Amino acid sequence: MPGRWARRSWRWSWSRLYETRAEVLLARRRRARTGRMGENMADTVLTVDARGDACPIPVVKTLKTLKALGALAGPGSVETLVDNEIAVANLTRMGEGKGCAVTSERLGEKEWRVTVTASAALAVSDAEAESATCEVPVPGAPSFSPAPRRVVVAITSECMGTGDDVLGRKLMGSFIYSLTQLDELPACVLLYNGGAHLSCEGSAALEDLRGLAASGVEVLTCGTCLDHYGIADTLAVGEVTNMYVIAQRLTGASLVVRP
Amino acid sequence: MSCEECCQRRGLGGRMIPVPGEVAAGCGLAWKTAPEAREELVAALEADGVPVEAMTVIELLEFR
Repeated sequence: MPGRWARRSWRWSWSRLYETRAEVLLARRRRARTGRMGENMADTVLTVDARGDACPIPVVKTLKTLKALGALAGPGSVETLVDNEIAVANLTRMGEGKGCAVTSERLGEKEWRVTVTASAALAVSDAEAESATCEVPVPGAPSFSPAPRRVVVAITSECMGTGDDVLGRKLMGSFIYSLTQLDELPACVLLYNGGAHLSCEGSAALEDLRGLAASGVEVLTCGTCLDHYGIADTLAVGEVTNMYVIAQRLTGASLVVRP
Repeated sequence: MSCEECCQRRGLGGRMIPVPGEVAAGCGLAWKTAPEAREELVAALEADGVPVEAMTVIELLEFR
């Protein structure tokens, strides 16, 4: 969606973590071979290859490497290779936000090197690295909004709660009314066992169930239950359903609410 | 609930709802009816001795 921030969190896989650690180890070996380890910590340079990585992976990788750099040698630089300007902007913003000196250099048509230089060991938490987001929007990128929830309300009785059935009926009526007032309506309302009475003629909840159905909520009543109570002819809202559908709706829900 | 019983027995319009958040933050039930029905409702409740805690008019503004 144009104009929206492309935003998502990135959980580290072990392979990615290993990649960063491997580079740290390589750098440590390089320093050991050249005998420079410990001479001038500011010279410690670790390289991250984030070419081909979509936002926010370059930022995540760089943060992880900055953290490793701090643990290894304190001050130093992390050079990150990226293949798009968005990543350059995001890395620059991240580095400057952490008080680092940031320089970038274009190496080729689709290759940049961003150098983040820390004058002291940086405090980078795992949570911070893992929750890195793209601050600069990626043109044309899909927005990473979470998948919509599929809320299913399972009404199994005319009463809400136990203790006093008169009160329980009032509470259930209030609950169903309250469903109609929610910003996010449930995807489905299932009525079974005693709950089947609520979708039949004479029910005080009919008006609200009809309102929900008119708003696109699937209102399903158990056919076996209607037959059992002898009220199949009085169903007044929604559809009759069977246990296969009930089982599918319940298991396919992201959230089942049973008042 | 006695309000509901009173109104239903007298054939007065309205319905029971949870007390709207605009009125009170707590938990409770309220009788919802049109503001024009106020006088008739008050008379019925007085006649039946149903205590009234509060009456509130909520104006719903369409802003979408």
